[in-house]
Amino acid sequence: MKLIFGTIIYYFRSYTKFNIILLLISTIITCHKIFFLGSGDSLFSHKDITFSKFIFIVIFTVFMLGLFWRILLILIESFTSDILQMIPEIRKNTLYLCALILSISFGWAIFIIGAGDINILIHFSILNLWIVSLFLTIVSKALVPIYRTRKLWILKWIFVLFSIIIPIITAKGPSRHPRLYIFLISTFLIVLLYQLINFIRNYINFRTDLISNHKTPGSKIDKLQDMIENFYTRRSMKTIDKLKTGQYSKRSTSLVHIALFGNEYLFLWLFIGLITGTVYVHFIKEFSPLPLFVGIMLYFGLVSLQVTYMVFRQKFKIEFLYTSLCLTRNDFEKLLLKTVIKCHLSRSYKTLIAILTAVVINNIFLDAVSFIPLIIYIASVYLMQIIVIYMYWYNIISRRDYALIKQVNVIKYIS
Amino acid sequence: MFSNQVTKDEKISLDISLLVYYITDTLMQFAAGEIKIGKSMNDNKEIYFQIQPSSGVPIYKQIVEQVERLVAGGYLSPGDELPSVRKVAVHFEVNPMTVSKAYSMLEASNIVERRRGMGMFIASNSDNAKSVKQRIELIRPSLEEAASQAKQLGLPNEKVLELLKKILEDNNGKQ
Amino acid sequence: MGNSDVIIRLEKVSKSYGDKQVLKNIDLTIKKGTIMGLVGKNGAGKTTMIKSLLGLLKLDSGKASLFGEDSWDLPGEVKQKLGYVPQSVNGFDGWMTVDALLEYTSVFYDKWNKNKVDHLLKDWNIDPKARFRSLSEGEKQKVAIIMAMGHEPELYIFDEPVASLDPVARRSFIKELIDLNIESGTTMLFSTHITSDLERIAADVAILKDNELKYVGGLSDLKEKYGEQLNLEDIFLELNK
Repeated sequence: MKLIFGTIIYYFRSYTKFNIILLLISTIITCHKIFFLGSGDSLFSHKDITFSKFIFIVIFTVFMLGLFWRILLILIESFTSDILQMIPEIRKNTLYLCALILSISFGWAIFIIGAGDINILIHFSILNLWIVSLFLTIVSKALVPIYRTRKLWILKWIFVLFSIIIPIITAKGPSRHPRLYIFLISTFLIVLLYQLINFIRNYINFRTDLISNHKTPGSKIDKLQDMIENFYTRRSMKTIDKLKTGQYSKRSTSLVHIALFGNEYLFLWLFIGLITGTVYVHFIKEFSPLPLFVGIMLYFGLVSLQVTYMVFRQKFKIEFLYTSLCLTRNDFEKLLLKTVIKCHLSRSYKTLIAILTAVVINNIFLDAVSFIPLIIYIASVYLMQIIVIYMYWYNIISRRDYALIKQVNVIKYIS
Repeated sequence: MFSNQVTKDEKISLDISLLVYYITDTLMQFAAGEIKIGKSMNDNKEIYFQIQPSSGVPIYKQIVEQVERLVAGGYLSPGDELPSVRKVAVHFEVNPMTVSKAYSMLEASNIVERRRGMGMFIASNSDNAKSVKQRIELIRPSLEEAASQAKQLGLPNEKVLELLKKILEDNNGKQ
Repeated sequence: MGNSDVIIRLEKVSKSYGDKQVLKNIDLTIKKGTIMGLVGKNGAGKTTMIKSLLGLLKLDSGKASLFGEDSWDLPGEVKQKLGYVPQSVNGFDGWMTVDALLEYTSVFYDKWNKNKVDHLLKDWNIDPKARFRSLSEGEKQKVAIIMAMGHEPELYIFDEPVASLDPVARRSFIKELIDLNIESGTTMLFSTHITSDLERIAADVAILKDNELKYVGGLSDLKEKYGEQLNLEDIFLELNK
């Protein structure tokens, strides 16, 4: 019992700020629900959306996604943290804990949403299950050894991309093609079940002595990863050659970009863009209104920001760059800021293209939606991010002791 | 035997081309790594001192004392060339300033002399070859150390002397 | 500007982290061509001293300078002459191959001796095509050392550069440094725990204890002070009793 208590304290202590923020927000949401929203209509229905309800839905969406992220971090931590490995059956107990958290939060979410409209509830549940499936795929990429045969990982990502349809059709309801509806949903649930069982089995039974260095089917992914990294290396070498021949000036951001963002995974941003565009079109029309979309966008904005911010906390890298780049302090700091903003803009640009593509495709094949609110909203989110980057830079880098920056470890699959 | 005196005279009356020749020749020797040391020594071994960096005795002192002993024992004669600072530093992997300090001290006590453009040579003072009486004082510290250890071990004098005799004979054989 | 012979200068340098004082009134002058060893217990302030020299830490009081320029904002020309090997090799991206990493570093500097770099890689048996993260700790440290040597700096600052190297590699590294010192008169500041390495390469030594430099001077003088009975390790233990 003491052990369980201790483990939970440990989880609380790691990522303390994140935990406290989650608890605060959930309290605020609960209070708001109890005192302000009646038990009458459901949260996501289209009628009577006041401004405060709008904000409320946004906060609720961000919270739910944040909660999923926290659970993911628990899973990763139980797998990688040295301290926790000493606890017997830690992984099995972690899975119990996550299941517990998910059930409690699901029940709480239903309370918040309001149990009025059954369709909304089904939609919400399927949406959550889809997010679970998404996070399972993410975990399998981050904790690569979990799946011993990893050759199907591309299929996994394609599955995620196509399975976005499922929450969408539950939003529309079963009225049009009931048999197709049931078929698609059941397929999805079966695949999800398989994913869960596979994940649970591998997560619990994973043994380090089974990672072998010789060619197994799973080593194909190493080859793929190698290929991607070779691609980045070649791209960096091209930049380096250009720098050597003076095509870029020595104060160019490309120089620092390699060190800070070298092995950037372009695909992630495109992927997020495509999902977001699709979500925008459909959730706006049906009973999951605009605020839900706003919440999701805000959440991805926060993730992107977090990732960008972590660049400034790479103490060892910054120390290395400062001593080797042969620039004065002022020039160096300005170069850092310029590089990060440029990278952020370039990522936003890629994501935006992907979003617009998704919207265009949806417009062609399905119901048309106006672009303008989308563009305005996205542009303002990215503008705000630039301001926040500048604030981070000002507080962490500008005129500071680089040796005192707290080093932060980046989760590897988001560069 | 006093060839270095002739060389000194020659140097004074050198004209430019010979000077250039000497300098390039020495540089070529440096480059080729062929610095000969000690005419009476086996040419396969070039450096005769040992250095223990992790001893309480500073490195420069170890070198100075060893050169002194070699000169006193007649193993290094006047006109013999010492290995260059660089060569010693690289061979023993020690700081060249340390070797340089040793050589400077040897120069200051007139045991060696510096010849410009050529290196360090044993000086021509004839009273460098010390008498047996003076030389034997140089091993007094080691013998005192051995004697004190023998006393600690409670060894009788005859046994110690017997062992010393055997070691000296073995050493002579190895020479 | 002062004497152009003085490469490193610390004048009455003090630094505290909150209540904890790490450096108290440190005075240190290192002239060109000197190889100075910096010895001290863990946490005595060696890394703090080194980082303040590089401009990575702000001092509470006193002045630190390299090549006559204030350490806090070293101009580019001074950094061109400086080679720094940090204690931790986590600053370098793991996904890059060794040769890419070295190519990348070469762009930072005006001059880069590729022959020397290739020669060292071969000597120390490092596969240039290997990814940095797949190397062992010792190999990573070797690459870090090569990265600092490629631009042929006049001043090296090493913060425990050989902690992960095996004895053979350490000897080879020391030999390399001695060659450099002979050839180009490079100045070196060397912080390490391995006293036997220092006894070879350093002619001067600075001992940090209780936030102060308890001894700065020639290593041989130090040994003579202790009656030539103790080697550096023993002297260090004596001082720390």
